[in-house]
Amino acid sequence: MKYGRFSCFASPAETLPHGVIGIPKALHYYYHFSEWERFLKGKNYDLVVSPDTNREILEKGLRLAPPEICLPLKVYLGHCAELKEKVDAIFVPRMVRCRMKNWFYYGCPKAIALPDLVRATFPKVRIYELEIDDVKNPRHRLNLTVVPAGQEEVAQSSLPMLLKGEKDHKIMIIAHPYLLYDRVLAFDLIKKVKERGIMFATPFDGGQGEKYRHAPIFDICWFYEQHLLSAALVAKEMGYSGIILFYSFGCGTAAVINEIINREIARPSGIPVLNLVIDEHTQETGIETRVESFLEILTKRAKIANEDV
Amino acid sequence: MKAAFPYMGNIYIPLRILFKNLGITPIIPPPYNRETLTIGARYAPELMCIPFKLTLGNLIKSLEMGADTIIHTSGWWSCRYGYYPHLAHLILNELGFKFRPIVLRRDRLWEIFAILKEIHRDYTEIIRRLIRAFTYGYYKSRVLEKLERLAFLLRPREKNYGEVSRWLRYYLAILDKAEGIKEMRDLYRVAKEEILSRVNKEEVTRIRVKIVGESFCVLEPFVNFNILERLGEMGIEVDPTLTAHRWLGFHSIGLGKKEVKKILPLAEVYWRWCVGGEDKNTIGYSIKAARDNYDGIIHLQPFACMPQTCAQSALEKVALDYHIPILQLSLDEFTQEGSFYNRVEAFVELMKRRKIRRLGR
Repeated sequence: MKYGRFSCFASPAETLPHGVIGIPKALHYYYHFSEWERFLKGKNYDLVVSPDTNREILEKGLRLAPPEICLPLKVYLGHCAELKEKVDAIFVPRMVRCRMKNWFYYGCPKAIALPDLVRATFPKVRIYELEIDDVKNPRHRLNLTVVPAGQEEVAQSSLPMLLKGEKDHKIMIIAHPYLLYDRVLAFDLIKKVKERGIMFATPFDGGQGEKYRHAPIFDICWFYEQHLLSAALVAKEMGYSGIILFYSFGCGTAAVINEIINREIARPSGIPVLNLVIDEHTQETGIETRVESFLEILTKRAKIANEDV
Repeated sequence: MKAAFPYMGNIYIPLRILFKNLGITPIIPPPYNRETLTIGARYAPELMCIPFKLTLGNLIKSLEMGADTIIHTSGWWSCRYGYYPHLAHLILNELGFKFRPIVLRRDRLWEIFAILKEIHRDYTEIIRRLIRAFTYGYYKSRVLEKLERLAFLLRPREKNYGEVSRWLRYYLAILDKAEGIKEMRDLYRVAKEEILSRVNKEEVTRIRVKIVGESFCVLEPFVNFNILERLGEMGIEVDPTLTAHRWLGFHSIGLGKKEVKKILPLAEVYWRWCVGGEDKNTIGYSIKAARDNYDGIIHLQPFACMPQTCAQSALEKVALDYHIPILQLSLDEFTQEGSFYNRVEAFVELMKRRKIRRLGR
């Protein structure tokens, strides 16, 4: 799945001639890891990826991060703390702007400020900063693709996006991959849905959604959020029976995006929506109960609709 | 055309005369209060920042008062401020209000002419009106700035408690009604003469505090519980980085832009990319305050403001590097005045002890 062209610029003062570079397994890792890998391997660096998120990393992140920031960023800082002893430098990209369809899109403020945040939190750690900005440095280009890393089994088992004419209900789980594919943060949400034998799709599988993906539909300039909005549009067009909005508390973009999905897409077309908010105090049971009851409602709805026919 | 627009603090004073001179009737609801907040928080998304909730409540009020147009400023960048108009229009439409949305963007400023063409006959008239409106707006906001600055300076020096604030409120009400440039200039002279006779002139060492942070939280007294006034009455010299005049950008006409240009490179070490929400200014001004020997910094931000939450950790680093105490307060609809002032007063006490220890040495 191609994702527009980004141009990049590695800040020369902080580049190393050679050495070990650590990539935290959080945030952008889930979008662009294969690309980072190719880029860094091409420059003859050795790579170390931090382990899967666990309770210990989460605790570390919670201690380090400012209290109001969103959960994925706290986890990111936890991964950095895990890595900092083992590597010469930590790889932190700064996703500023990218160009799609002759117009440029911004990253979320937290994605833009990420290197500053890491630098302020770990003053002594060396940072390999990669500025990705199509307007300021258009010469250095890097093709970025979105490959949700390490989740091949998930991608295979979920259904292709534009499955049409199915009688049983299918749902769309709209979330960022760094939440959805992180086993600790998401409490295995995908597995829970799968176990109940329900067909589902996420914004990142199936190549056929392309025609929606690159169309800037709404007046929203965050490029990752274009994915989520296009997924919601697909859900509407293809007659999905439910949408799960899964986001972290304190996620600034979610406040805007969810409102637009709710008011412009879901409500006019009558698709029920479940808002699942998580933070560091969320318990697994709470998530389970809400998902279960939502799926129950969907089943009832389908039954009633069938009886009417 | 009866226009409503979101505003904060005293910004409505220059905007009222600006709109009037353009031939648009401004509808300005009463200042923010509990009721606007309740209305706004009911309809706004839960995770949205407090400025949106308050302005939404106010827009609903002004639509009920008979406004038929809503003027928003917007933009195309990363901060959520750029999406206020989109969301507000969605919500207001769903509530069943009929209005005409106007969104002003920096890259589409020519649209102003198209709007004004509907009201006025020809372009010469429009340009004449525009020049007059901006001259009057500039003068009014400059007098407002002077009055506010004088109040910040004199509040710790007042003889009777609360006198300067009363004086300021009285003259702001007169300024709001003033129509001519000469009238405004005279007003400032009279006001200055009146207050100068009622303050202590002798110089005492006072604590100086810099207020930095997000514009709405610094400017709007309802959100920050009037902290600028209250600190002044505690005997502290307050210096906010933002005032109505500065926010409106009129200070750039008076060559105040030079100051900001000097400030921004200071922040470069800690913050390379200005995202929005005054984050780079906040860090730059904090460093400047530390260099100018201020006694402390108070950082105000809306809860879950995207740029400012990131700036928090950078600010902590600044405070450590430059040895200056900093108090970070985030505000939302559930913040209570009691807990807020508890923290502020403890911080003031800390600054006092620090000052005494320093002077003693």
